[in-house]
Amino acid sequence: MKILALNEDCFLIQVSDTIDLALTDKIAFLVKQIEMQLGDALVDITPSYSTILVHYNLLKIAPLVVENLLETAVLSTSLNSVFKGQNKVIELPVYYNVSVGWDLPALSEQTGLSIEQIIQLHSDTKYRVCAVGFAPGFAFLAQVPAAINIARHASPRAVVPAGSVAIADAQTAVYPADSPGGWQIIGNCPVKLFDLNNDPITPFAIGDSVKFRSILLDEFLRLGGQIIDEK
Amino acid sequence: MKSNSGLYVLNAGVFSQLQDLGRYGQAKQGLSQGGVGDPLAAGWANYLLKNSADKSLIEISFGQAEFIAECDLQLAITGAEMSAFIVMPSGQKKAQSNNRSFVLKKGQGLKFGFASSGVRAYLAVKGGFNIRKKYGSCSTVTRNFIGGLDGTGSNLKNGDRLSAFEQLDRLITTKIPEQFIPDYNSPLTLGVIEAYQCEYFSSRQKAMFYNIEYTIGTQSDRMGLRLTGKSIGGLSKGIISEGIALGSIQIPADGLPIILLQDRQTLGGYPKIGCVARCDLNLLVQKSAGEKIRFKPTCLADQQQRYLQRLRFFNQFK
Repeated sequence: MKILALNEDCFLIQVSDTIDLALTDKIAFLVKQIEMQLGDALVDITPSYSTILVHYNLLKIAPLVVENLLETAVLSTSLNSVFKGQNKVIELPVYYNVSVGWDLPALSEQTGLSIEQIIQLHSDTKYRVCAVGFAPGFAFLAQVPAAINIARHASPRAVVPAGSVAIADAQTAVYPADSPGGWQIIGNCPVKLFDLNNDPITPFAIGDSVKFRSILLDEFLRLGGQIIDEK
Repeated sequence: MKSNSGLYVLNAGVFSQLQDLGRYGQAKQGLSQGGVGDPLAAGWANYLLKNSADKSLIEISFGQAEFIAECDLQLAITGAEMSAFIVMPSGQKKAQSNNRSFVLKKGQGLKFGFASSGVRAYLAVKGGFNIRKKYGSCSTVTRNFIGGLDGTGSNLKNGDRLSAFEQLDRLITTKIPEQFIPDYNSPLTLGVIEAYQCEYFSSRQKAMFYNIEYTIGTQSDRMGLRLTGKSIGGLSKGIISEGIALGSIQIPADGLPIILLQDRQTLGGYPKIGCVARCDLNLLVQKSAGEKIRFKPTCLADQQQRYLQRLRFFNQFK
């Protein structure tokens, strides 16, 4: 564990230098601790796989005080003391089909698995939210079963449609909005995951779990899903 | 007094946005912070009108914007020099210099030319504009579909109407003391607070980084500034995606730095050599493509003092 001063008003807590799913509980717990202890002296907090960026208000608290507080919070949080019951399980419907999962045929060819087997493996796994970022509501989910790990496209697509469920190595995610992206698309989730009129704007928080449920075309369309042809 | 009238956008120019100090507390949901590119110039604009530092104002990038007052307004222009002038209803023109408060009477126009020094100018109004905030801010972040006049991240458009508080009290003209007005054309060496993966860069790479004269690339925007010049080479290994602080200097595999600004994404997986000192960033965003910059190491504690002093100065009006 290391605490680095990044600039005038930010610290980076490096909880670990490897990705370890067990860490997400600790990081989620630490985020809540830090929010509570810094109160309105906290400007912003950005947790990720193994780090927490803490942005504080220099007018309200001195850097040394923050550093001490962070050190104490980290040292007093052992993995065992973390209360695990606080994180939710989010179930998301996914229409896994070549019409919306443009990369399913290539993934099938590369892994030697049938499309049905890929769907089974992807939807049987319970994932953890390891980070939310890149774009609003974009949750990095792990761990994708090794049999269906696939590298990103060498060159990203200009537009990945909103709702696309995609894989990059051992991570999976749902694109919350149309955006450029290089992940391999295997399906589409018709549920809106980013709404600026909601508070919070996305259902995901670090430490939550996500389970995908395979749905058929009629449910997909009923939930507002759309088939978009690849340009 | 609240009023529905205020400032009418006759021409939004190259691009102009509503901004304030930024949107905070939502980074863990993936929302970018946004906010004025040059907090020093924006700070002065609000200061000249005795506004609190968080009041919304217009960030005019590159120039050519034109506005009409729909009621008497007290205004201030700071930042880039865009040779602003007031247009009387008679058509008569009168130059309006930056860095002082002034009155724009009902029916008068305010027109900006192209930026001749600096890139971003700030137009502030006494009391700020009356804009509905989203998550505590009206900052426009186009990529996140948030902020601005309609809350969906649009830049200002011709025909927009920004409601302001009508100002009937007499204006006492305030000016920025000459010695505090930066010269955006002077050479810029940015202080670097070494952090993040700095220790993973070899001493040779670091020496090169501090020796090279970089040029600001054309692919630069409110998210980040790309630099061109000699490559210092990348690191052999990527890093686990982590939170990106304002002013972070990324060194991707091509070995050319990218400085991350207000509209940056919240997380990133490129190695970073450190962060640009906050008080130097405002001068950086006033540089345009093709201009040269250099880096030098700086001391964190000194920069913290410098930044704190600035924060205290601009936060004196509530």
